[in-house]
Amino acid sequence: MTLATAQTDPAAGTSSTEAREALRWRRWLAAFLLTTGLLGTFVYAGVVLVDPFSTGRFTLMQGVDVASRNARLLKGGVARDPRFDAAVFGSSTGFPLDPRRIGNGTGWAVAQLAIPASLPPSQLLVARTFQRYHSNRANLQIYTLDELWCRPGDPAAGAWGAFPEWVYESPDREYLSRILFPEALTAAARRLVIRAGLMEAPARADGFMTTNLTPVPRTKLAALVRPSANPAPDNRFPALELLAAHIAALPADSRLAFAFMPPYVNMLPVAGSPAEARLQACKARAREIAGLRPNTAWLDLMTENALTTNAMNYYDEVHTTPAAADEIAAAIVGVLKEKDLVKR
Amino acid sequence: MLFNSYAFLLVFLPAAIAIASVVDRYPNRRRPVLIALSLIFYAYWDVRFLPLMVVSILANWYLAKAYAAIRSGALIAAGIVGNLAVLGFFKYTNFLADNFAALGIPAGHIDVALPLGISFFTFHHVMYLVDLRGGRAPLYSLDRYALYICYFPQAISGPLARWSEVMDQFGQQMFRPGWEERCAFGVTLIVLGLLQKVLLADPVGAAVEPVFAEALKGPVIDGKSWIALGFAFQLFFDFSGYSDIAIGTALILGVKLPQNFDAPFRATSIRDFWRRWHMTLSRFLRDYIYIPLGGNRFGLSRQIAALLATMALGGLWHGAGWTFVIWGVLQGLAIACAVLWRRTLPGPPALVGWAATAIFSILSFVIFRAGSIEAAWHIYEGLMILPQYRLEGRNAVLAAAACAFLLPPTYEICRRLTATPQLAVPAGLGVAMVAVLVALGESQSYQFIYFQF
Repeated sequence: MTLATAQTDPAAGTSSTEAREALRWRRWLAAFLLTTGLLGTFVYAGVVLVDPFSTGRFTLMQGVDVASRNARLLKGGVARDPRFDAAVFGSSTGFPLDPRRIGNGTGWAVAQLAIPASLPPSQLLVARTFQRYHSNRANLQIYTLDELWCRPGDPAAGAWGAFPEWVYESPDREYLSRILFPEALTAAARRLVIRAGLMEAPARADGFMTTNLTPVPRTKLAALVRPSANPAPDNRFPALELLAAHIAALPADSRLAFAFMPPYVNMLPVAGSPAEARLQACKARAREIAGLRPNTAWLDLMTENALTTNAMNYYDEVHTTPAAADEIAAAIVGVLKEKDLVKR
Repeated sequence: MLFNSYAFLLVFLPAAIAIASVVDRYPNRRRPVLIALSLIFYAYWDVRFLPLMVVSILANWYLAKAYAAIRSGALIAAGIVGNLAVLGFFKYTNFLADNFAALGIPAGHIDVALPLGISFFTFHHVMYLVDLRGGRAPLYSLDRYALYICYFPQAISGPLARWSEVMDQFGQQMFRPGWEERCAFGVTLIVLGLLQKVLLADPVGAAVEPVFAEALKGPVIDGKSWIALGFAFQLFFDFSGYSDIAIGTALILGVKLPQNFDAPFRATSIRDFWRRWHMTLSRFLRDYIYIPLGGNRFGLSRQIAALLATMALGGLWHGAGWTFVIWGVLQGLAIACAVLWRRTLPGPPALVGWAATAIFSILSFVIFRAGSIEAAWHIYEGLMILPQYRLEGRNAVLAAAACAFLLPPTYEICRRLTATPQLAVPAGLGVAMVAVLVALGESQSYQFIYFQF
């Protein structure tokens, strides 16, 4: 500090010591603002440019890497991956299906885009994203359906936390306002390390991840009481109407498959009950929607069959073991072959 | 607008500081600009409640003005009853209806949202009107009074500053000598407040929430009840963090708000605890309920009755439910026991007093959070089962507990960090701030618990 600046500041009426002290505090404040501003900008710009979920937005890294273990986030990139021309959509009930098993039997390059804890509107959003990036060629879309599609009322009600729709479809402003959060930062760093060849991807490139659920006691499955009451006598299925509108907008050459997934038998309604009538009405409406299009396969495993009556096939009421999932995949391959929807 | 949101931290707060800095050289514009900013802050949450805030300010100020002119105590009484009636309508109507229904008297529910901060601004009105009636408070200009009620750092969840603590500060020059150090202290408080919220309160909140949800459905198994005890620390760091951000924000704008927490989990008696926990509310309860009810001036039985009534009302203020009342009564009983003990026995060793106080307060906060007496019982019942070693959320609860028991109050930490202007401190705070901003991106960041009161 020069002698001149160390003099008393008559305007502020402070002594030179106080002025020096004030200057040091100003530097303190400047250091805080600079650190926050520079580090914040670096971190934010880094995450945006690295594109942790491979959305292809605001980045030079146009390839697709799986750098997260969060299915809701990582599948935003997988959905646009040009290496695939087929995809499985659905919730946690479709999640254990190994897409390689379907692909090996049919010739399609299948991506696994079923996402646990996703409601029908979110599943359709994922499907729309896949279609947007694969509209330039014939593709196969496999919709795994479960009880969520037969519920009355708002199909978006009862969400398990907000679904990150912005990863799949959002205006730039929304995307940029949401991209900074801990998992994005971790995934961005992981993507760089994976690109450098220093780490394996946390999940397969086709989006398949092994499920490691803890099985509930079989006695609990056995003790389940099959439902009999109809929650909504009007037999309306708002989620299926969303599905109808969605597939009506698909190009004519899209191949489609619909599979009602198998819950454990005690989750199925009592035969002849109002609940069973509602389930049958739901299936009928789904089949009607499917029937409106050519090149469509249909599979109904939501019945009392060898798969659903064996408790060993289940982790819990609705989630199947990998072995059972392989059986379901084989059944899907079967109906695709039957309808001649294999890739030539 | 939440303090822990990008909207506040990246837009509103910098804009408010910039605008306040610009008008700082125009003394006549300082208060009107702060009022405008405060009303924008309030309306951002739900613009429908803005008229209530404005009418509440105008009605109380005109009432005070009328009182100053005609000196009729009935006016003040009517004002207090009116304020409490508005609070009662929004907060307690459905609670009363439920109780009437339980007695077989049909009473309909009303479908109305609780206006943000109504419990706090009602108490601000009451404090001022009571002191005006007692001759302790002067009549202030409308803009000062409006700021007292709606000043955005404290309007939503306190601290419950007294008019005498803040009224004369409103409109003071922001860039008066010493502003740099004051701002540094404010910045430090804000960052520490955010760290308390994001690093301590939110992870504990995520851990305890499923346990309380399970307790509402039935018995809590596998010793998970022990995790629920973490709620005391969640509430503490949530509200202490909020208070620190409020105090820090006000400090940057040139206003010193009262401290609200003073390391309560280091208290060595229940009386000590209540001198350290939500200090501004404790002072309100003491000065505006306990002492008017007689305090310790009319014998032991009257004192204990006053204590129980005060704390029961304090509990009810926190929420419209019997669990809150029971929590308040338990606090009153504990303080009454402490009063009796002090009269008849020598004080216990500090360590024993600390342990007893901590155990009591942690256990009693279970009722506060449980949602029903049955759910609270399920949690207490579950404590009979020893916890499994790997309970989900264990680390978050233990970390929060360690910080609550071992760390000095944030004011003290701030004082140490800003004792001299060392550049390593703002650099560290800057890194922490960026970490907080990243963490806030997670949609799971919980709202401040005190918003619902």
